[in-house]
Amino acid sequence: MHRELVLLIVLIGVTVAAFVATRAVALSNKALHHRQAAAWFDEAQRASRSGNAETAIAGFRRAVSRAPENRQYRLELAEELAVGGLYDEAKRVLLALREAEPEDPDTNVQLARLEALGADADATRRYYQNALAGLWRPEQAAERRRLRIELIEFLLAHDERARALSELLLLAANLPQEAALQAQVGQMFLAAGDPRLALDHSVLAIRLDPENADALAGAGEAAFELGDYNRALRYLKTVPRENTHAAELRELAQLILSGDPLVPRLGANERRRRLSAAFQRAADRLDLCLSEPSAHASASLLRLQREAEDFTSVLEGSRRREPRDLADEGVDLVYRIERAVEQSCETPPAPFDRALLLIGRRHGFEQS
Amino acid sequence: MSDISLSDTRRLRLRENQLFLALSIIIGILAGLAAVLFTLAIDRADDALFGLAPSWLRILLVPVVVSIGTGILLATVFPGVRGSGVPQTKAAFHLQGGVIPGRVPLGKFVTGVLCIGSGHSMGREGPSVQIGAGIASVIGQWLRLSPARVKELVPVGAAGALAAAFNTPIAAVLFALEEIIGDLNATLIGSTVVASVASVVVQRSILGNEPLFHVPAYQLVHPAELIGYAALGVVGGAVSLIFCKSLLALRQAFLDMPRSTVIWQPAIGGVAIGAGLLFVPEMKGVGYEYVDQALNGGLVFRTLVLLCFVKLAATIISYCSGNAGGIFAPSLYIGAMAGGAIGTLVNLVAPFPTGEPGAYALVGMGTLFAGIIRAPMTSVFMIFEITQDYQILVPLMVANLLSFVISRRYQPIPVYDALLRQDRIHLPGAGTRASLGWTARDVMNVEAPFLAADTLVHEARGAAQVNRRAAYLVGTPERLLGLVTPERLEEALEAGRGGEAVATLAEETFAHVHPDHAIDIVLERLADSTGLLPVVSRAAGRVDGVITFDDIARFTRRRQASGASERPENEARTGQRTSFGDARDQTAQANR
Repeated sequence: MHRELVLLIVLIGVTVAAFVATRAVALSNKALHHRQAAAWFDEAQRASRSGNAETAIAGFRRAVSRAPENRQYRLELAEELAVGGLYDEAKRVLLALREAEPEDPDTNVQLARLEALGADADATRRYYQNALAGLWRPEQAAERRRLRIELIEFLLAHDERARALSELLLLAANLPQEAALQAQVGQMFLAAGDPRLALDHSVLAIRLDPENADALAGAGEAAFELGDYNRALRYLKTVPRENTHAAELRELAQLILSGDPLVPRLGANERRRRLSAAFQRAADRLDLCLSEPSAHASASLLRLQREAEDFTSVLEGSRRREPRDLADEGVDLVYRIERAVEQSCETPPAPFDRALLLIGRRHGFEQS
Repeated sequence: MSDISLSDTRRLRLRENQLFLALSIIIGILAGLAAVLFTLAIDRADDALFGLAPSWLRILLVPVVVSIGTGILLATVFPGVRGSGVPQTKAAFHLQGGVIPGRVPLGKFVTGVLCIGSGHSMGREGPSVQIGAGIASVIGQWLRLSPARVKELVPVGAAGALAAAFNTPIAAVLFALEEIIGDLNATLIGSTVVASVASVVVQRSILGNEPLFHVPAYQLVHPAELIGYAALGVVGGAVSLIFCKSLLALRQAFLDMPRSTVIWQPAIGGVAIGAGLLFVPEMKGVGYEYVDQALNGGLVFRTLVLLCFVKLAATIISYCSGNAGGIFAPSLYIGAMAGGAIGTLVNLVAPFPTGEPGAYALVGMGTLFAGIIRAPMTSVFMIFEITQDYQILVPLMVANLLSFVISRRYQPIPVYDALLRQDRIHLPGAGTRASLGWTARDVMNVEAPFLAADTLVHEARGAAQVNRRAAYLVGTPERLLGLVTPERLEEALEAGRGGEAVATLAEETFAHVHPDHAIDIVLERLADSTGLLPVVSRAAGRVDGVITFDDIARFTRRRQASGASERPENEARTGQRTSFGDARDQTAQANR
């Protein structure tokens, strides 16, 4: 028995020595693999930068096969696979990563971007929100903010305004005093349908940087949306000419301010002149619309034509009537004509037509 | 002996069992370490020989030059380590009492690393099995264990090595039982499990828990999808058949070449592989990274089909030309590609919702393994261990079963056994192994009536008239050419062929038995024979003796006279349970 014990002890010694030796070889191999993986990764990145997706994918794949535990290699592989159009495989790579670390923001962001390409809005939003709810270091606040902005832009692009607004409120709560950022958030509030907050952020941005063109345009647009055309015009006048949208709004604001018959403290003659001009434009447009070969002469349009004829005689014999009452009646009719023509005729509206519609809305005729 | 009490005997047995258990753990660890080292060495060799971005000349020359070197090693220093290693391990277990010389694991390690590392399309699992089994056998011999214990250590070492090589402990145990021992109910299950677990623990402590393949969670998306998996089973069976038939045919062609070419044969494979690698680098070595890609849907249909057939051809050439490496990994590779291709097709044409092509690639791996290796249980558990997901089991079993049945129908002899038969080694069947009764060895007459091949027919007739045997063996015990009956000799003489050599009359096809065949098989074959049944050894094809009806009758009378009707099997088994000291005495006796 003594001999067997000695032999077993020798065997155990040999086993321990073999374990140590094998471990040393394994560590050395691992180091070699990491060097090889890094070399493949560098080559793949070069290929990726030069737009050669196929070579880049092959390189990233080799890097991953050499260092499968490296997250960065896998993320880059997934990104390149998506670039190469291999969405399913990219998704699988990312899902495998996510399985290991469900709260990893990078993985969730990549998944979100991938899903965004595939038009699965729900999945995209979920991954973005998972990424935002993930583990972020304090120094990553700006990165996290950028991600939230990315999510908001995605939601706005998919017409999910309510969700976008709720994300915007979260974003606005911790926004630094930076003009560009405030201006961007202002424009996003505007797109999400909240011109009041849009105006607040744009004004703040102008205060921080009075020359900020985006902030000026945003403030002008927000004021325009709120129906405050004077304020809108004030901001829009300072916006550089290249901004065509702002120029368009400026023209409209000017038309509204100069053509609104219901503006308070307006002389009787001027009120009458504005009303005549507005009514004449609407009546002409209605006639033009009814004369179109493709026009659908509905009962409502014909009724409006009769009303217009009646109002012409009223307007001509109205010297004794209170201009304000007449203007109310006229603006209401003009608004209804413009809206009906817009819905029934193919003729595109001129800026003045749009201004007349906005004047009607401004004075609450939309509800009538 | 009469001084030893029953309790002493029990204590001795318990101690021996404990020692065997401890030995199983140590062997499991050592086999696992050897498998890990083998894998690492292949990686190193690949890196040293090819580097990161090899030139075309280097790709072409490396397999050729290395194959010339390994050809010399395999022909001169390490004979018997060509190919997979699984058939040799089976032969060692069943026919050589588990005795494997020390140079076998060493030779397999060196040549396996060189062959696989130089780009040959071969697997590392088969060689790992032979290395593990060899280490176990060498340790058993070194400790001077009883022959029965040495034999028992072979599957223990094989399971340990495979568990580490493939990171699938359950499949490794099943493989050892199903393929090496050939019996899932074997009593060695405990030792193999212990070795397998020890091996995997060591492997994971060194290489980490990173799985061999990164497989997403797959499942059966729609019940009708089973039709797709059934189609995969049929295709898998067909591809398995193509693989096995081509492998055996080409290997036979290489075996039929003159013996002087054996040393250069691996280089022929090297030339083919070098040229192939220039066009399809994905066929190089083990190729698990491409299997991983197929499992993750990273390969398109055309690539999958191309790699399926290129890998099949490359593996056959590498293997048949006599290089050292296995067919375990290639069968998984080919299966993954075939499965991926079928999966892509099913995705395109199926009118019902289907799983990803990767799911089919995964099932394809098991399907080809079941069809080629013919170990269905191992294949199912292997895939289960890779995925750790029950969802894939039903389609896997459907596809595996179909592939297995088709392969068995058209290639009745499993590939490992067929490879051994090409080397003139016949493994005992399950029935023979299970037989506890009398065997051909007990009945046979060692004095076989031989006629030299150049004996003239009229001389042979003269001898036959004197000896009056039912038939005569033509040739020598080492090289049996055939059988000739006295009637045949008479006919030849009447036809005026008395001056011809008797070899021209020898019947080349004749009934024969192996020494371990049970007596009922002997009687059955004797009834179909000319009245004389040669007993041929499994390992070398040597004639050990003959059996006639007279021998059966003589044997029966002898047994009746001695009053024994049952074989003393229990005594023999008790003999197997000798302690280390007893084994030492037996070995010493055998050496004397």
